[in-house]
Amino acid sequence: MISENAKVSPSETPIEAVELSKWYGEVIGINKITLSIGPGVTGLLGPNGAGKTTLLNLIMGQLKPSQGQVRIRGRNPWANSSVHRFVGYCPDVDSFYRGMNGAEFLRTMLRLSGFSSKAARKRADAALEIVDLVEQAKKKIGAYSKGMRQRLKLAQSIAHDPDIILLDEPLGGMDPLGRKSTIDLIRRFGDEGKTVVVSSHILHEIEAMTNTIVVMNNGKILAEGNVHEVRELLDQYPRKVCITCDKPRYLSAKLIECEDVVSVRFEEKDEGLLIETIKPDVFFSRLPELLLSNKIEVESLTSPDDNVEAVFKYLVEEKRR
Amino acid sequence: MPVYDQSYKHWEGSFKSHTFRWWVITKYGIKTAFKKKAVKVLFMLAIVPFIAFAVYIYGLTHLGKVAGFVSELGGDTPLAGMGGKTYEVEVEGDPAAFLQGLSKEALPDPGQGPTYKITLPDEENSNLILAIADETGTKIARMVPPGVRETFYSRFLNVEARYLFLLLLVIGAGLIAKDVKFNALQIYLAKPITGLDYVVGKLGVLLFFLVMVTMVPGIILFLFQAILIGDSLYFRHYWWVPAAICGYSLLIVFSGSLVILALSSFSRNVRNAAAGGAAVFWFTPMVANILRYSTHNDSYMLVSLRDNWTSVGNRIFSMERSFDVPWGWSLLILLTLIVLCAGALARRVRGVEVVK
Repeated sequence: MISENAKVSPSETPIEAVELSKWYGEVIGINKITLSIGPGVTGLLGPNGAGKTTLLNLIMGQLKPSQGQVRIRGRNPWANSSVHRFVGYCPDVDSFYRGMNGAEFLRTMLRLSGFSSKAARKRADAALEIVDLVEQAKKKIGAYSKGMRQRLKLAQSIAHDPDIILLDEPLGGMDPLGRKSTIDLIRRFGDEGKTVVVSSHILHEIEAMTNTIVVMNNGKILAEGNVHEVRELLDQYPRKVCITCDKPRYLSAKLIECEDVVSVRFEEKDEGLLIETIKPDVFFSRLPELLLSNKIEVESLTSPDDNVEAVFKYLVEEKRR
Repeated sequence: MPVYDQSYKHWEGSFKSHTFRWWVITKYGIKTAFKKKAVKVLFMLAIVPFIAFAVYIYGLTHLGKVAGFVSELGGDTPLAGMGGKTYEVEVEGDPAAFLQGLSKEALPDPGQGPTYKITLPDEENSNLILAIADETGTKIARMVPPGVRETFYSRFLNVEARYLFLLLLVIGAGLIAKDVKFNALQIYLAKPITGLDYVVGKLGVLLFFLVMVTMVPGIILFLFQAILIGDSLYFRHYWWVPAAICGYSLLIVFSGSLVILALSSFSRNVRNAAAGGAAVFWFTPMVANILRYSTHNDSYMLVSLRDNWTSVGNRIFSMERSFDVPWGWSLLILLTLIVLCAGALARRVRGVEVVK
């Protein structure tokens, strides 16, 4: 085991997995994953059950790989708690005593990381300030809202100054303001040179943080690289848009004339339209003018395909071809 | 140069030694336990037997003064005429010459020989007996000092064990179960501590409370008795008793704590863990006794954790067996139990629970 006081060598790849597999009995958690994650923010995208949390737990050393290997700065994290000195982990589930207050919780976690009482106090205060929980620091965690608990979890993952941060669904339960500040914070960590891995099943959340993504489904990596490349792939695939308005028939007649619109279908009670377009950017830039000039009042506009599920579906289909 | 090298600033200070990181968990556990009313009440109640045993020691050592005080009040007491320090002395050589050297007040019944009970005034001690033996050319083969004997301390620890069970349930049942319930294990083990640090930390909480009601008061009683007698012979004769108090206390505290921690690790519900503990501590002795009396076979006592403790405790304090089974079997069962509980904890204390 290495000394916790040993300096981390920046030349070693922060996170590396080779042919990494984990199965629970007969159920496959992740299957032969090979990837390398460098400094900056990397989004780990996938629907529920894709294997994102399993992968993060393997990186943290909280699960033992069934096959293959995972390395954090060249070290095997399994049964090697010293690597946790430079890794911060924010799990997706609530993980604390509700009887403690926020400051107490952070100080305890910092003491466990090896900080002296004085340093722990200082760092806990700083972390609370970063996640904007100073006013609630003395409040019992049990009285925190879901968003506040999320922020506190985030605080404990960064308080000990790790250079690798693993965040499992960090935005769950946060209000829009909380989301915004957390996204900004994650981006800042990435800009500072830390290696941040953020898992989520919501594409636009990840897009707001980073361009680098790893898409997972059924325990496998479907795609990795720049989010725009994945977006482009998605744009070649007809995108569904659902509009509920006061003149659906009129609007459908107008839309069907457009070249990019592949099909228009009426939804229940003739109030909603389901449109398929092969050029969503063109479609969305034209739509406001079309609605305004024809005095069409829109009740709702959703894009059922504009989520990560659609990306997965598309990627899975691509793989099958 | 990558961004990482240009801007990232590491923590430049040094970290505290890993060796005592478990203490953070212990400290927090102790603090939390003291917030519970039941723990405070039990802790206070556990002091009552200690006070009672201390009063007994004081009374026994000051029988003469107590009798004098009662007579001064005009009362009649069976303690009248008692007092002083009674030594049990085994004389080698010519006992008659030795007895002649004693004062009239200290003279025992000569028919007792060769072991005599010699009562000296409170201000005298065993040195007087040794001096007389020297002068009369006799030799003291064995001399037992006055005061309570080893059985007293064993009895004290067995009384305290009742509070120990309750403290184990009230404090121990929730120690790991609550962490499992609140997923705190995942956070704990995401820090630079090992599963062993975690278990040692939790064990430390129980050891703190249980040692405070067994070993510490036991040693204090021993010192109290030795000081009241004012004779170094007490230390020399019972030198092994403090070790026995520590050994027996640690055996029951350690095995009891591991049992409750293992039970706690198997449940998310504190009540279930406590019920399991109650079954082990109270139900197994009941079952053992029923089987023992119905079959007239003492071997069934091995089923009971409490009786195994008593069996080993009797051996440690050089007392007679309380049932007809070698103490080694009880020790073996206790050691097996410790290994099993440690194994269970090693399996259960994981950051992520793997359900297959």
